[in-house]
Amino acid sequence: MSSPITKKYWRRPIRPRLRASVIAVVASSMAIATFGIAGGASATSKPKPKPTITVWVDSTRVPQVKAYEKAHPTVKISMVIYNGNANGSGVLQSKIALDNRVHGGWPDIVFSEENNDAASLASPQFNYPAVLSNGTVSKPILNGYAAGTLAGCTVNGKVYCLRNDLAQNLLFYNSALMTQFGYTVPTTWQGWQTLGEQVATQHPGYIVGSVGDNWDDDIYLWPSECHVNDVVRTDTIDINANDPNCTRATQLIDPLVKDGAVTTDSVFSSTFTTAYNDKILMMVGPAWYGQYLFPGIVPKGDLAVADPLSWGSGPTYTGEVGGGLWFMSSHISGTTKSLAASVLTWLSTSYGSQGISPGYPAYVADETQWIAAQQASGLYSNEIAPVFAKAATEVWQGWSPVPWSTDSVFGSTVVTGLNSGSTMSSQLAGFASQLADFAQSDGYTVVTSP
Amino acid sequence: MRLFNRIWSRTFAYVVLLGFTAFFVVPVIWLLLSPTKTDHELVVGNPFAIGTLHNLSHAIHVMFTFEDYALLNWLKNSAIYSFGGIVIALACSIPAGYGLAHTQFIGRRTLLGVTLFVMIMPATALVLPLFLEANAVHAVGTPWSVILPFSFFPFGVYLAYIFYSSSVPKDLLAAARIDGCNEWNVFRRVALPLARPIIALVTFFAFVANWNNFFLPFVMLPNSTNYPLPVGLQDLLAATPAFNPGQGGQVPIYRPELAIATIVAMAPVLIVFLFAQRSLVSGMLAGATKE
Amino acid sequence: MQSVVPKRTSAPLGATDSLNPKLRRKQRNGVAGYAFVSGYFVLLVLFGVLPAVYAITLAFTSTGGHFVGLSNFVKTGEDFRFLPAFEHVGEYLLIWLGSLVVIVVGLALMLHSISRRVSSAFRFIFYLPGALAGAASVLVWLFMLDPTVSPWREFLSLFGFKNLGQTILPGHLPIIFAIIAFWAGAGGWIVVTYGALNNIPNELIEAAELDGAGAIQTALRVKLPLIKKWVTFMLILAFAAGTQLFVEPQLVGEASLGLISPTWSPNELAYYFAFQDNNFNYAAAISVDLLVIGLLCAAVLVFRTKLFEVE
Repeated sequence: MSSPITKKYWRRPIRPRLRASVIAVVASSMAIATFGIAGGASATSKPKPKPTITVWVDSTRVPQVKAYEKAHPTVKISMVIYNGNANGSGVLQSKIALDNRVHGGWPDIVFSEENNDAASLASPQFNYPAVLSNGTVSKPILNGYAAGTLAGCTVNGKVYCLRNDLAQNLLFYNSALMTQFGYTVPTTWQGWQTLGEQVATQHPGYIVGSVGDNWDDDIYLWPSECHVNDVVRTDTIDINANDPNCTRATQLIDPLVKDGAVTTDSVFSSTFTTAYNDKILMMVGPAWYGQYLFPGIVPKGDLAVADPLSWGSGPTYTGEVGGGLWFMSSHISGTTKSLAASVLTWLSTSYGSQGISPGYPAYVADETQWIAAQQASGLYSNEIAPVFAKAATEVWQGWSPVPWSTDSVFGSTVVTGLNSGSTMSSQLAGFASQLADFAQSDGYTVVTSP
Repeated sequence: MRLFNRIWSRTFAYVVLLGFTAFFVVPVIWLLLSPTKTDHELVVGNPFAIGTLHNLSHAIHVMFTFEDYALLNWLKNSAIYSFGGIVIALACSIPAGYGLAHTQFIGRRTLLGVTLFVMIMPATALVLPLFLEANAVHAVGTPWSVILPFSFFPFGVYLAYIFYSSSVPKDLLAAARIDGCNEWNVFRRVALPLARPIIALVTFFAFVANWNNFFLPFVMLPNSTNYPLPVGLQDLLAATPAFNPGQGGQVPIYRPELAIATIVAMAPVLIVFLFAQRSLVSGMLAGATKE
Repeated sequence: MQSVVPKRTSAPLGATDSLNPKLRRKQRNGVAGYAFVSGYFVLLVLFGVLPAVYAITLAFTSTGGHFVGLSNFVKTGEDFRFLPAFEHVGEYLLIWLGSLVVIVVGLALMLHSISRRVSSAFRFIFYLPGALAGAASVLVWLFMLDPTVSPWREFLSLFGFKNLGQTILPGHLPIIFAIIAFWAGAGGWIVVTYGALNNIPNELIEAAELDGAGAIQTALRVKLPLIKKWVTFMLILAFAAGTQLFVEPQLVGEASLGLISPTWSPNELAYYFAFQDNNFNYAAAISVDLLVIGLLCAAVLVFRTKLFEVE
């Protein structure tokens, strides 16, 4: 029953040591407990004369919330920073699902970077956001958005969110470099590619675009009218990897990736800023790239914007990357609800908030002022207002909001493929087939356009 | 020739061992040094250069004041969950080990066998089932949803069982009975005081397991004010520009600050490791050594 | 590492109680026995048995609560994310277990061949990173794998990695997780293997050396076969724990700028089914798959290796 060895072990002179370890454990625990409670007390337990509004935002939106707090010192805001549901992480859905289980803990207001979120959050499964179009947010405010801007927020005719900014893609370029190299700004994708090839041979090291991020499908495939994300009628989606509208884009980009004129580095990788400092000749990207990505990489005053590239024939379309949505909880009522609604409205529509947002405001009344401020900042060398305004109306409508993240699938198939030395064209089939998998598991019928 | 061989193989052994020492130690040293530098210095400087106290205090200040002292709050939560779990685990496993070793009852062997099984099975396998169960009784989101599963610690029962069956002689207990002690007093007066080393051992293993547990609190606790440190760390990682430059520089949590948070998360375990090193190693070996 | 203390004794579990009179007399303290184990028993039922039973029930029923047989298992098994998740973990296990056998046993043999005092210092250093298990170890390794700040940046640049995104490409994850698991867990196993080596009678080793065997030959021919069952023990425990990957892909995924699938490992997939799809029955089916793997490992260890012999 007892082994001499174990017996010996337990009797070995480890006891003093063990005593020391017990003391260590107890001591550290006490330290932690007292320390922790002291810290915790300052964080919570204050008398609450007014309801506290809990706001979840990504770190980019933090200044907007802080601006609200500054302008409304009597309103108590509890700000929680989360990842903004970025990159198809689905964090927001998981948290809401958990809160639904607990029947509490929902954020009063939440910001999401994922433009598809209204459809999924308003579904019976999550049932989170409050309807805003029933008087919760006043008609004049809702009417202050340009037609179609709130389409992604509208589910079955009801508006569930307010949009933070428009994220229409534009052609950014370095006007100083373009002049120096003697190039003219292209107006078509084909022209862009020809110029890219020239850059690769005449000025190696300079880039005309990047395809290293999971939203690059919005930048290259969306404007090309590629049918991989087109909900043609309720619960039927058109996904076609062989769509010539898709392949024309990938075939354009592959040679540029090969000769280095288009980089496969993520624009937000830690090395991007240093590697491409003053090396960006052109880049197609969303409006918020201007304020958010380029300062520090493109010299101040050298940046310029041009209209979205066209495919030569037919109307010019563009895509959009994010834009961000503000939701309010349907689980609040009374004064909390009215207060939350005013916070929501302020964050999404007031210039105090939008003026410090890197994105082109979705709320029309803020646009002129925002553009003027951007122009005055000295970042740009040309007149940007008409370009931003025109592109905002050119977003192709065949790229539908869906409950899964198309970007995330693009990232895990095409971008990782490119990073491992493959080509965009050869990754297209895998991209489309995984999208079809997601669509089917979400109950969609997948069709292939002729 | 033999001597040569021996020297050669000895040298080879030392070279390999020193190589692995570097592998095991370099990350720890780097981590401890990194908060003394700025994020920029981390990129351009020598990885093992020592920075300044000013940088260190700046990083500490930024990290601790982040979101109204969220880090301290997480630390407090970690402490409450870990020690709450340990207290109940000890209160249940020491008597259970004793009961299994020194009393007879129907089902004793079955209980022992089941204990072995659940002890070997990775605890993670039960996390989602535990969530489903907690959900059914509306306990999700409460500290108890983490503390109670933590307090189920079959390994502690097994340790206590081995200890009592191998190093507390039955005669000793019999003598106490003859002196008129009832079963409870035999345990309280004789067996329990002997169990001090095992209490420390169970405490340690339960502490490490609870402190580092990620999946269970991640699933059970939706509210960030209830997070323990590991879940808080994931939140920091996801929501700040340290590894996600796309998250923008509005929240000044960069790599030195993240390193501070990591150090805070590991420090309690590391301290206990350093203190209890020898007994731990012996504990892990239990019967395996012949020292 | 999984902290389990195996014990060397005689009769295997399942051998009959020797019902000697002394023991029988002790039956009278049966009630006391129940009292002593009652607290633990309640915990065992509530947090060990019940969740498993509940998960099994859910796995065999539909969302409406009807019995559906194996349908949930079939449907999750056919899901396009199921096979990749298990393949990822399989790849990881292959590397991790391989490194355990070769490197851990190799290091333990080397430690055993040098002086005890020096080896104890090495053992402590190897064991130390065990303090940083879980989320902390993953964070540390994100730093180590980020070519911009890593102390091993020259080494990483040999592979052409310029930024973190390139180091943590999905294809690299199995080996990366194996390295993290090795860093945080190998030390504990080295200590255990070293202890097992210490248990080999000196006479055997001396006899081998008298026969003219060199250090390496002694290690491979004499020592290794004698610690075989410890290696098995280590492999089974590491395998059982390894199938449960969750925090590693979760955290690395957060740092990958969205390039790593949120359903990389089976546990992540179960989590996804539960919280993104709100399908607890599917989640339960995958949990049961994983439970069965864990149970099989435990069964092999308990009934086959004779390491856990309880009286």
